[in-house]
Amino acid sequence: MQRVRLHLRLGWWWLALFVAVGVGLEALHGMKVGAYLDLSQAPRRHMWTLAHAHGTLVGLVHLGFAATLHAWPGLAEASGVRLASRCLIAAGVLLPLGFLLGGVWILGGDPGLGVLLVPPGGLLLLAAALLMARAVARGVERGDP
Amino acid sequence: MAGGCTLARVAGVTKLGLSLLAAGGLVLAGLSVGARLQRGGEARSRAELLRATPLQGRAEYVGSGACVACHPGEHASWSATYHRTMTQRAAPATVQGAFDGRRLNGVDGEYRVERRGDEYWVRMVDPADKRARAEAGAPLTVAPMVERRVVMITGSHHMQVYWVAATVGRTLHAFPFAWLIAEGRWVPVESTLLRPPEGDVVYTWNEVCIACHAVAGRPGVAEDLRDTRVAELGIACEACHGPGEAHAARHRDPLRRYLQHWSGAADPSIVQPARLPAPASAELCGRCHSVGLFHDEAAWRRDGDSHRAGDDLSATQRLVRHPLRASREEGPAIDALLEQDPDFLAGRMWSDGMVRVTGREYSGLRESACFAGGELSCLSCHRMHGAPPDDQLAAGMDGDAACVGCHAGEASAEHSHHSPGAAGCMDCHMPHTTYGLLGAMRSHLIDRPDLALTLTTGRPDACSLCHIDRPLAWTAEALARWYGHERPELSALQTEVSAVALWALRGDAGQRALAAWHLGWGPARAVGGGDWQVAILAALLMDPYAAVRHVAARALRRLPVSAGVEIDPDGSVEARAAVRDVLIGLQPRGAADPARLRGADGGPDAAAIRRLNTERDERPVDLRE
Repeated sequence: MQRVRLHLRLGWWWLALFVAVGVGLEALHGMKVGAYLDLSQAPRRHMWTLAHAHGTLVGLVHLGFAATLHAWPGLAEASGVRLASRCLIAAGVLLPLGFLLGGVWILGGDPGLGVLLVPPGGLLLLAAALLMARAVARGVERGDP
Repeated sequence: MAGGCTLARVAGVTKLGLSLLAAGGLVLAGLSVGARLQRGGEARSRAELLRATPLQGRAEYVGSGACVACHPGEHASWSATYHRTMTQRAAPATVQGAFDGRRLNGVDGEYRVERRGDEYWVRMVDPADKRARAEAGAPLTVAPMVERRVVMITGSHHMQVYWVAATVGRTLHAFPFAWLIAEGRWVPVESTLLRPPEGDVVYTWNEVCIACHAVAGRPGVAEDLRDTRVAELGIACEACHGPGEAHAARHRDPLRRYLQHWSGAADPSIVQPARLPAPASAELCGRCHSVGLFHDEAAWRRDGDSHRAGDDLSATQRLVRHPLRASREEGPAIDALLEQDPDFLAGRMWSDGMVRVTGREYSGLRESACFAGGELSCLSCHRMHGAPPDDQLAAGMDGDAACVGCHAGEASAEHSHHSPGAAGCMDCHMPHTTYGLLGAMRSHLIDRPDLALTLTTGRPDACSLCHIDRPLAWTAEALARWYGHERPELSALQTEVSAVALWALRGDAGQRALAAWHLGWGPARAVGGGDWQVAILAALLMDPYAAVRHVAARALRRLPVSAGVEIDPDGSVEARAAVRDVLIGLQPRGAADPARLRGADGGPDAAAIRRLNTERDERPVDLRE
C-alpha cells in the first residue's frame, strides 16, 4: 500500500505541475511571446510542448500504476515491480526535465544539451512498462488475482 | 380500417424515408464524384504547370526545404524577402495582377487577361511566331493571336512580369504587359524600360533572367528546345551559401551538429558569407549585382554557370569596368566588347564609369575608396536575414550609422555645413543617381559632390538633387566656399534656373527620369518646395520615353496639389495633353522666381518651360537594367 500511496501522490502532483506548465504555455501563446512563438524559436516551442505532454503523460502513468497495484495487491511483491516503480519515478523526472532544459538553451535548430536526459528517461519508461507487463502476464498465468 | 390506415401510413413514411435516403446517397455520391473530378482537375493543372516551368533539382543542391529543420529562423527571415519571391510559379497566392477579363491595348492587337479557376490565362500575339518573324525580318502585323496559360512570375515588390508556357519544351515568353504593384495598373513591359520606343519585344526567361533569378540555373539551350533546369526558383539559401547536399548529409549526425555548435568554427561543408573576408563576401553578391559577362557564353547557355558561392568570380565571369577605371590589361577586352555592342557601357554607366542602372551595386562599390580599404562589404550595411525586405538594410544602416564606424570625425556640421539631421552622409556621398524600376536609387559608388564631373558627365550632383530649386551656380558657390572647389564656368541658364528643372526639361532621357523622380522625392520637396514643379512634371507627361512619363506621373501623384487627377502615362497623346493642361492649371501661384520657372505673374512660366523642353537632348538612351 505504501507504493500505491507513493505513485498516487506522485501522479496527482505530476498532473498538477504539468497541467500548470500547459497553462503557462497557453499564456505564452496568448501574449504572443516572441521568445516562444517566433519561427526561429521553433525548437524551444517543440521542446516545451513535449515537456508538458510527457510530464502529464507520466502523471497519468503513475496513477495507472497505483490503480493497478491497488486493484491487484499481490502484484506489489511480484518480481520486477519494485524496479518498475523506480524506473517510472526516474523516467518521470528525466523525460519532462530533459525536454524543459532542452528548450531553455537552443542551438539553432537543435535543442540544448538538457535534451540528453530524454533518451535515458525514455528507456527507463520503456523498462517500467515492460517490467509491469511481464509481472501482470505472470500473475495472470498463475491465476491471480 | 384504422389498422389499414396505420399500415399505409407506415409504408408511406418508410417509402419517404427510403426515398430521402436514396436522394441523400445520390447527393453524397455526386459530391464525392465532383470532389474527385475537382481534385483530378487540380492535379492535371498542377502537372501542366510543372511541365511548362523549369525542371527543379540539380546535383549537389537540396533546396531550401532541406534547410528549415535546422535553420528555422533563417528560413523564416529569408521567406520574408523579395529574393525568395523573385521567381514563382503562377498561383492565386503569388499572382498580384488583376486577371479579371479586362482587355489591354497592345501595339499589335487587343490582349486579354483572365482567371479560370486557379489558372491564369492571357490572349496575346503568339510569342514564338512573333520571334520567328522578327528573326526572319518578316512583317509582324499578321502575327496570330493565341491563348496561353501564365505559368511563372517575376517580381513581387515593384512589378510583376508574367511568363507564358511555350508549346514545346520549357521555354517561357513574357506576356507583353506587366502589373505595376504600387499603381495597381497594367502597363506595357516596354513602358517600364528606359529606352527609345521600339515597339514590342519578345523576352525569353530561359536565356537571361535564369542567370540570377533562380538558384543554379541551367538554360539547357539546344537549338529550339529548351530543357531548362534550376536548383530552385527565386534566390534561395543555396544561391548565397552554395550547394547544401554535403552539408545536410554531414549534419544528419547529431554528434557532428553539436560539435559544430560548440566549436564556433567555420563549417567547411557550407559557405557562410558573413565569415568570408569582406571582398569575397561582396563578390558573392556581385555575381548578380554587377556589370559582368560570362567568359564562355555558349557554355553558360548550355550548362549554366559553374560558379558556386565562395568561388573566385573572375574564374567564370568578367566584370566589365569603364576604360577610365579599368587597368591597361583590360583594354583589349573592352575594345572587343564595344565593337560587338557599342552601347554596352553607355547603357550601364555614366561617362566616368559610375554605374547608372540599378542591380549593379557591386560594380559601383568596388570602385569606391571605402571598398579599396578591404573592410567594406555589402554585409556592412545589408542583412539577408531579419532586415526589412525593402532594401534589406540592417538596423540603423539607413542613416549616418552606416558611415560613422570609420568616419566618426566627418559626421559633423563642420564637415557637412548642414545642421544636424538636415542631410546625412549618404545624401551627399551616395545620391540617387542610378536608375531602375521606374525610380532612382542610391549610387553604390561612394564619392563626393563635384560639379566639374557633373558638367562633363551629365550626372546630377548630390547638392542639386536635394536643393531642387537651386541653380548650379548656387551649388558651385557653396562648394567653393565650403570646400575650396574651383568655380566652374556656367551658362546663363545654369546660373539662373534650377539645375533639376533643366535636367528635367533639357536633359537626356536618363537625366529627365532622375530629375522627375527627385522633383517628387519627399526630402527634396521639404528642402526645395513642393508646389512649383507641377508644370515641369506635367510637361514630362508628353515625353517620348514611356518610362520618363511613368516616373513623372509617380512624382506628380506624390504632390498634394495633383491629388485626384487621373494620370495615365500610357494614354493617347491627346489624353495626356489634356491632363497636362489640367495639372498646369492646378499649380499654385507664388512669387515670381526664374529659378523655379515661375513667371512674372507667379504662375508657371509656360513659355520658358516649352522653350527649354524643345531643347531636349534627343540622343537615344537605352538603360539596361
